[in-house]
Amino acid sequence: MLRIWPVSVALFSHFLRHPSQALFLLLGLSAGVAMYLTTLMLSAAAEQTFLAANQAIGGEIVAEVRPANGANYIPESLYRLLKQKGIEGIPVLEGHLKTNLGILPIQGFDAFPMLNQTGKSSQRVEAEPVTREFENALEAIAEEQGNAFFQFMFPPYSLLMSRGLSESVGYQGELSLVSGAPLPKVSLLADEVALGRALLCDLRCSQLLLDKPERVTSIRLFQLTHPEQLEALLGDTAQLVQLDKQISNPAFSKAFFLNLQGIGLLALVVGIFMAFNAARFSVHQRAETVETCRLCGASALEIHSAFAIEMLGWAIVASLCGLFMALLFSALLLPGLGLTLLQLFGADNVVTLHIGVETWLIALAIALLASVIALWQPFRETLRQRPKETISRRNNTGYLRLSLILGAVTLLMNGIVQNQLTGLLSAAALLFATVLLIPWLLTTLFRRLERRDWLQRWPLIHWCWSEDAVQQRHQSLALMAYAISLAASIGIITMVISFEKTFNSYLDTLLAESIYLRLNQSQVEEVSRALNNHPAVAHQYRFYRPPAILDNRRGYVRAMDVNPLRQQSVSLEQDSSELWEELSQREGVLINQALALQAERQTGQTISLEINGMEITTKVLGVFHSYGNLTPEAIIDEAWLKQIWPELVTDRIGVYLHESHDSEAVQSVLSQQYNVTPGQMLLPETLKTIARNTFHQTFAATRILSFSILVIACIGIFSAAYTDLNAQRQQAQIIQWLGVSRLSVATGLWSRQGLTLCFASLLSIPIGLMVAWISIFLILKPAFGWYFPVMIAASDISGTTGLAIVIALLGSALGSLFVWRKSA
Amino acid sequence: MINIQALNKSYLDGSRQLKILDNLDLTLAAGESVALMGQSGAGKSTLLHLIGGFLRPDSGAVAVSGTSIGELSDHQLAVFRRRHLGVVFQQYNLIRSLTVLDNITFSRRLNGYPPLDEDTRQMIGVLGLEHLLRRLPAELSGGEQQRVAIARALAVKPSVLLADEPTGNLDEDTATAVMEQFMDVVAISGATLLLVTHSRLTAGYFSRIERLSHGRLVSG
Repeated sequence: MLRIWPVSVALFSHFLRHPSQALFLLLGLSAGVAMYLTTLMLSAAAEQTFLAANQAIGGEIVAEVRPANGANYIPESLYRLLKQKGIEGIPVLEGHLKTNLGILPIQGFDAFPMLNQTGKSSQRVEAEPVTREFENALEAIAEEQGNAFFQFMFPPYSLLMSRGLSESVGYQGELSLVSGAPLPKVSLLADEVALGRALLCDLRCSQLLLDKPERVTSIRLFQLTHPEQLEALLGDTAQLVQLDKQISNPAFSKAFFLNLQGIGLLALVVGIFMAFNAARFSVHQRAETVETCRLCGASALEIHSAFAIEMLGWAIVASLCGLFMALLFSALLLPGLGLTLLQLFGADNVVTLHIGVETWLIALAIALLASVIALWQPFRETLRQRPKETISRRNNTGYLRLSLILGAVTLLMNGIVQNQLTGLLSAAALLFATVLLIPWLLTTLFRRLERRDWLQRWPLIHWCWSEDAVQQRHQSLALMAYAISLAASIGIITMVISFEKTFNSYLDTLLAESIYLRLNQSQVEEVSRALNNHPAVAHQYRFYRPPAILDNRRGYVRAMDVNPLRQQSVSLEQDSSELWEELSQREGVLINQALALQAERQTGQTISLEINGMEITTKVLGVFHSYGNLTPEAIIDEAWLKQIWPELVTDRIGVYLHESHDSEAVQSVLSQQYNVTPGQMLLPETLKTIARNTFHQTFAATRILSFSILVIACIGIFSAAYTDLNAQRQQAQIIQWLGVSRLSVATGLWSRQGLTLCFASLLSIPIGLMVAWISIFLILKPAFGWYFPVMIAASDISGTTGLAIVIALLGSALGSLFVWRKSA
Repeated sequence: MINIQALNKSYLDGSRQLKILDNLDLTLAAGESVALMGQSGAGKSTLLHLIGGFLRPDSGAVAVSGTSIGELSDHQLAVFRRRHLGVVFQQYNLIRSLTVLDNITFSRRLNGYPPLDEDTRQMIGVLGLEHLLRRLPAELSGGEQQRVAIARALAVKPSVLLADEPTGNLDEDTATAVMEQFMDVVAISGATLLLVTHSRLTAGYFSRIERLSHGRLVSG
């Protein structure tokens, strides 16, 4: 019969005498599991949201009727006409409300057609799908709210809000318009109903609140049997958009999730490194106990089993701790992620975490894997033979070999295929390959230094440096984890700052106008004439951006005239003076990076566009930047567009002023003489703020993640310093016997660790910059089509490096202090 | 050279006070060699640690070369040790990361002396270590390691040499060879030697043998 229990107790009792080792082991495992689990949970929540939003937006309706000729609304009478002709659909009015909780999107819809469809649910076939978000809402209020169903459809109406949205905007039971006007009663529904980030209400209610009587923004159709007949009914008032040509961006979402999981995996690796260090020390310290157990008659199987039970125990505890930490992290990062998904991918559902037994099982699986990686090797070493406290003249060439192999793999991988995944793998491989050089470099450096004659004058330093050659084997893993974290942080900071700078400069170029006007159609001519005659106005133009099908994708075409002011607002990948001449001569079009990526087109190739029902195939004259925008867009000569679409009108005007300080005067004239309301005048700064906010939260979340990894690595350094110095206690005592004070020994050892930390930190800077470069050109470019120059933010990089060094040195000093006190 | 008066030292064993040294007096003259014998737990090693300043006595005084050990600070003790004391351990306790030469010259360099002088070279020759100087301790046999430890202890020409079972880990032949070399170099250096041993063979090299029992020195 196996006697595992007494062996387990004998082995585990070690941690009762050394609780700090248990703490470091658990901390490493838990932190790694927590960070990876966080990214997995966030990815899963985001993916679910993304899919739900995709389905809600276009998954179950087959077509939409939208305003034509640049108009914003369709008369509601058109809906009635379609209904009379037997075409079923839902009229929807979308807009924004300025409330005491900020600007909230609102969607109003007519529930009656839904009731008809819901009644047919038992006979529903694929040909008669319904719009899920509205159906869900109706079912939910019918089930949960009882008579609230009638309140929804009849005055005084009610507004539906998801609980997630209410939490994110801080709804406390009071919602009113900024103007002071009251709003209907708000009913909260579960996030599973998928209301998204918009308030939902009856169509009449939204028309009242938005002051758009008899207006709708779209009519969503359940089926489309005779599109030609429908188009004939629509005439010039509206256009039919079949949703099989909707924007499809699974590649973007995949890229987003892949990057998120990459960061999580990095954290897991750092955590395992940290746990490995503590595990190795604790296992080696028990070598004598293992030998004693053997002498007492315990078989190899029993000892193996005892270690396996211990491994399982650590995994279970780490999975629980990791899960708890992951919940905290996720709750912290979720709002930012939700906003990013909304603005980047249009996934406007509230991101919610789903935690169940399966989440813990995943945590357990990750923890078990991490425990096996961290503990197996030390266990094996101990079971094979007792580790000897001896050294040889090895130079850590194993790390060097591994580094060279990884480097070769990186080159090979990029030589064969270049996509986002290989880019991510290349960045990881390069990161690990360079970091693996650190132990070899340090050992070689210290070996060379200790042979110098001048070092003989300082025997304590000589000893410390020669000890480093021994301790590198124990310390190198923690040092590598630290370098990986710091390099990753530097890489992320460099990327974020490079992007922020490029994006800001891009926005300045893109939004060069002084004022943007969004007028009523009746005001356009008059205001345009007035602006032409105003002395402060340098140029004003009508902004045309009608929808179009671009290479079988739904997108927009933007009109461009020959005015240099307007041309300068287009930020091109490769500038060319002849390009504008070619554009005005209708020799081709310009496409944005999103379209270039999706359609796989480059300058000089041809592309097909469908504008106002007319198909044209033309040349791509150039590619313009589209940071933050994933919607395909093309720029076409304005005169050419008007020729293709003679009836095209717009209610938007862009205004350039000679002097920006004249803006208020012009706005005042427009407001007083032409009844242009403040809401119709948009300033570029407002647009820039909105654009920057898209990325602000994501970058903040990314920085939190990278900083957390760095902190974990610093705890790892403390753990390594502690275990390292503990392992050196006997040697330190010999030095004390030979006439060196305790303080000098502790200071000497700490200085040695400080030196190696500084070395690793400085080496992390070029590694981080390399990672940033690779990430931009091998990950971002194939994922989003965007790329930008690497900008070295010296102050931010030195700040992060300095902070990391200080935290790590403090960790190391704390380790030294513990050992110093113990040796008293 | 070593003057110990009314030395008391006890440890706490759980809640019980365990008396290790009980009002112990001991004097060693300059250049004298004394073997200290006694049963396990008699307090031999504790006495060496007290003389070396690694332990503080509960009461009593320890003076080495006229310096009262108990009055020195941590730093002063360290300086005193490196100048006046040589120590040889049963476990050799060499610095694992330094070569034999660096181990031997370590204390000399701590004192700011040139790494090697004529006396040290001579001692290295007597101990038969010339061909081992570039090796690491892990590459040496037990006897060789102990000879290096002896050389290291004597390299600074200490006035007092403390040895704790220096041949305890060696076989009889090697122990005899090492002890002969050890006594030779101690005689050359003129240091006062206090050696702790269980071995009658080792004790046989000494004209004065002290026995420690229940914390006190006993005759015979």
